Amino acid sequence: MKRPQFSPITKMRFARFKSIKRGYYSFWVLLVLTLLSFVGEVFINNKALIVKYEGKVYFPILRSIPGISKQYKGKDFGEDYTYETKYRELQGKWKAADSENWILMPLIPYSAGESDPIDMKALRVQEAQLANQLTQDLAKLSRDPSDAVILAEKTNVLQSTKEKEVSRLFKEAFHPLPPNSSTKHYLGTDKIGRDILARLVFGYRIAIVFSLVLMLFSYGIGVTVGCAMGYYGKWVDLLVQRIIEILSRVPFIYVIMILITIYERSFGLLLGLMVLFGWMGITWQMRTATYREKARDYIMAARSLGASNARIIFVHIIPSTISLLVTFIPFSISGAIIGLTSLDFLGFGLPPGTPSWGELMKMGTENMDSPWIVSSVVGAMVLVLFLVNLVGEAVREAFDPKKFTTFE
Amino acid sequence: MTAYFIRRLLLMIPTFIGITFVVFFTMRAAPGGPIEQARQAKMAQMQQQGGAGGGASATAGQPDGEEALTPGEEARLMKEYGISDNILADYGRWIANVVRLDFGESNIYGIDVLKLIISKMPISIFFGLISMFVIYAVCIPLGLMKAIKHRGFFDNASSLLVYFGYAIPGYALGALLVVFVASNWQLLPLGGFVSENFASLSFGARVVDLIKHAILPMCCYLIGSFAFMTMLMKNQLMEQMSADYVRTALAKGVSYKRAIFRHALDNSLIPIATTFGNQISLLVGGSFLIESIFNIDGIGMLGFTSILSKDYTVVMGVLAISATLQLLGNILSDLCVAAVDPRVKFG
Repeated sequence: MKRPQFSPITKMRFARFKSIKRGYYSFWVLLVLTLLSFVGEVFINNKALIVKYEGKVYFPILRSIPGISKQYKGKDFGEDYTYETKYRELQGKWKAADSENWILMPLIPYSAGESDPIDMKALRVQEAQLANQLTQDLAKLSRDPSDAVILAEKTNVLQSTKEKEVSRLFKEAFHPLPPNSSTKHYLGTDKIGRDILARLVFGYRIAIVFSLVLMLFSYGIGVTVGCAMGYYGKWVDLLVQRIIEILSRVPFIYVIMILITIYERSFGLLLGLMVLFGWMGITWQMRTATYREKARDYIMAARSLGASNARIIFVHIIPSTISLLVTFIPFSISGAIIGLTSLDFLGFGLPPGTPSWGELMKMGTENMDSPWIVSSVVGAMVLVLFLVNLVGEAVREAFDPKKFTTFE
Repeated sequence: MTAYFIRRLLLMIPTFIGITFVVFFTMRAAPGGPIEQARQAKMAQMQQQGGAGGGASATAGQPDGEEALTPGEEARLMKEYGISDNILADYGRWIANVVRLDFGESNIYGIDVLKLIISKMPISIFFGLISMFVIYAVCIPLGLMKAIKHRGFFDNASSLLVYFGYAIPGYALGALLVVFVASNWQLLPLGGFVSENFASLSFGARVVDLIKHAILPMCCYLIGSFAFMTMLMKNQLMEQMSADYVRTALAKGVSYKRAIFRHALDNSLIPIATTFGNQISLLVGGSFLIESIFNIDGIGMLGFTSILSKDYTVVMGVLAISATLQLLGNILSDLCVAAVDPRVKFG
């Protein structure tokens, strides 16, 4: 069987893409980031990787895939509850008891949807210590023979410092927490105590899947319709042109905002709407490319040899316009990520609770005393879009090189 | 050529009808219109009165949502808001009014929609004009420099800025700026178009106040088009510089400077001219993402809040005006191209 082979021109393009170092490396970095996010549960999870309990080894992480098997319950590991094991707690308990059993947690022991409970017990203990300190200080003060006014003043000072201490204690203990490696919240937590890094990673995963699926659909429609417009021309072209002109000027956010009040927010609805309003760009490009290609002599030759329309379109026109499509892919992806994030920011995106950059950014602008929320999400966004743009630039240069003459 | 532009102008009409009909139709299909709002308001009122009258009877005689309005009231409201069971007829009436520049009254503000929109225009024009000026004043020379020093240090260094501009959407920059510059470092005001005590300030203080409020949103408006325009300018100029006529000019002994400034630059400005016509839409421009971050009460916010509050007449008014300006802007762009480039023939 003949192996499918790339044409020499395609090979040359790949070679040229490889030679543009910053684009090529950005592509690999992005690929690795994306693959890592697909197995993100291994690094970011509230389920333990390995549990060694009474000589036996368990792998709770393997039971995180829903529907495969049941999760380990607390009583499986000698705890007295029958719901899912709280591995973080158990790990601390075993460590403190210096037990034979041990737990290996993922790098970031939190899941994206889970809010890290505040350790109220420890907080109360610290508060009690402060109160204790105050009574001791007050007792010391009362032994000190001095006049009543100064005594009252000193008492006041002590009391207010204690109150300040307590409020600082509580403020530091409550969410949002700043980035801290000892709590393992490396980028801090959001307002309701969810780990920001976890939400960033899983938000990225959703965004990239969303944009890839979106791209697939809109390119599918775009290639079909654009090709038909360019190849058949005449009234097909005119009709679709009007539709495109209308659709591309309807403010799509208006339609989304109105439809959201009727239907529940969902991945599918959002995808459908974004496809509905996003297929025009690629269609337009495809139309122009088909027109240009159709006018070439080799198409005429094919037709005079008796090739059918279908053969001309699928064997000749589409393969020769494919390079045009490839150059648009990175920009479609960055566009989709920006679009999804801004819809989430406005509250018209994915269902509430879904990890999303837009939602985090909104939270960041609402909690201005917690600047780490905004800075991490904007940082992540800039990093990803920067890489995507570098890839896009390199792809474009590789597929459609413009050789410039420069003068000395 | 005149025939072409007349044809284009006439083609605006079906497009305009298409755009407005899509939005009109989706809006009418959605629940929660002004009638329902009136019904709810009435219900709340009745409940309150019932609550004041006595607990037991109020819960027993809970009015059903459908019955809150009497048929007479409902018919009156429907007439007032121009709503009937026939969407097409309603739409026809709306279009007929729009042709006479009557956009109706806002359900929420109770004032004429056109007046409402015009009252928000100064903010859009302010930001639009300044950003247009800055973009052209910075991007053209910058693109020129980058093209001349292609692959040089200056080009590479400024490319970093340009790539950054591509990578960060305006509102994300806004979120960052408002949290750090305005809130945490307190260098500039958090938002709003002017301070509350603006009226009491002297002229100089007013200008300073306005500038202080404008800096951050301005950065957000600028960042996207800054990157785009700079690269457009650079690429165009590079293309012209490698064209044969420049080489010919150089071969004939024209100085390098003159070849660029007298020959290449003029031609590379043509695509920049195509963007000029669209500036007409800055009359009602303004992104509500940026406006909502900086709490600016502009046209973007008006459209956004009126959708949220189902103020249909305002939504349709904003849409009608911005769609018309956009369509006109496109034609204007083509006119600009035809004006600066004698080779272009439309027809």
